[in-house]
Amino acid sequence: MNSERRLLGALLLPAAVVFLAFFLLPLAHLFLIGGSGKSGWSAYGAVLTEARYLSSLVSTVILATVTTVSTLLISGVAGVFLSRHRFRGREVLTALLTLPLAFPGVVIGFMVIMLAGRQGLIPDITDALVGERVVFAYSMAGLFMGYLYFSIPRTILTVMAAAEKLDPRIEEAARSLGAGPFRVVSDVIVPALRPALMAAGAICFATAMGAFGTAFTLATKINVLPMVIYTEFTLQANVAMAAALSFILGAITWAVLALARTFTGNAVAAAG
Amino acid sequence: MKTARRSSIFWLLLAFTLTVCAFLVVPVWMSMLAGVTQNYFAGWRAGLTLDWVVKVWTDYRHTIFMSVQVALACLACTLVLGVPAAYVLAKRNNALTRTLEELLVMPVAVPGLATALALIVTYGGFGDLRKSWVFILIGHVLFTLPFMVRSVLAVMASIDLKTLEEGARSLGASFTQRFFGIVLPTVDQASLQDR
Repeated sequence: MNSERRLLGALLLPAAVVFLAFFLLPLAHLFLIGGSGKSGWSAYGAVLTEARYLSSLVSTVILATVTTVSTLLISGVAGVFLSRHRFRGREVLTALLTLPLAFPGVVIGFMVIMLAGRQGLIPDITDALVGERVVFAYSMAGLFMGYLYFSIPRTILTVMAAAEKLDPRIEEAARSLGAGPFRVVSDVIVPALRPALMAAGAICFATAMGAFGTAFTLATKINVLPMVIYTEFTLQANVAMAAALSFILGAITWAVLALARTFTGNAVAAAG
Repeated sequence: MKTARRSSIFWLLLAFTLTVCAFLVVPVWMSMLAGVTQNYFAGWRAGLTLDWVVKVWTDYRHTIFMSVQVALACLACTLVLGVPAAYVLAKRNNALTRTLEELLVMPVAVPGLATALALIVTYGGFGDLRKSWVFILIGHVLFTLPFMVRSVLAVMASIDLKTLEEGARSLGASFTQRFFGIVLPTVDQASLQDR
């Protein structure tokens, strides 16, 4: 048995070494650098005390929350619909809905510009309707749209997978006992999908908190934490503050995902 | 599943789903169209051309190859590192392996920006590493390894690896034979799907 233990240890070693050297050590280093600036360890407190950082933290959290709720609503409805009904073209529709799954953040930023940028489709439509070009790609609203674009395909897949496993007989039983469609949704379908929804929601939240490519493509002036970190690091050369902010951003995101995991078991990372 | 007559709720939900689909697909279509339009600001009526596609190929060919190179190298690394690790995690379920599993998914939970900054401040001054494509590879491996370990682990958990392996062992198969004869064939589909 002892030799088997050694064997298993040897199999695990490469992954463990890479992980230690390129993730845990750098993160620990990042934490130390965060406290090594002019203001010392109070850099970590500056996120709450300095208005500039606090406002970007608050707007990032709000953006992430709104994105998560909207994504869950949209994908929940569409996902349950697709898994409950069989109709011609359903497979094509599902395939189209999951088309953007492989797009990186920068491409998603480009898609938002296509829709709501200066030459975009939505300004064209509003121009025709009310005679004014409504351009919002380069603002918080554009970023919100980008994160929606990113999260909807993933969440629809998760919801569909979970809804397929639901037993339709439970719904029928509820209906036969006189429950209306809304009662069935709120008392049967939503509770049954809760683990999947929480898992997918946590991923949405984490993405909207930390995704950088989309924000970077749209505008560097959007006041979200990842952009503030980028500005501190490259333009202000304030490495310590950038490190402290990154560490805090990482800690918040990790905590949200860990919290979701304790509620849902192991589903969160698998949903990614 | 449903009877021939669709309720009005069905059509409402179908319209909703189609709208969501349009939101996702229309910009893709628009950007493809923009890619073959002579002058984007004049719209597609100005004429279509393949000039841009040719330009991408002549100017950015090396960038595309570089991306493919990084992706393939990343796949190789995650396979070599991830499959053995997942095997150990599947075999042993104790406090240590659970902690390791928890740690391994951290790069997904922590935003890439924080990981990237941590790597830069730690290894950025390390010779020419920062200018090298290996530096990018390291970041990608960190981020994709958890997915590889996770999906391989899920398959291993679902196929009752223990019984298969014990059967092979009772027939005299060595560890190497077992690993390459049973473990790898059962998980190869999962690990390839993961990419």
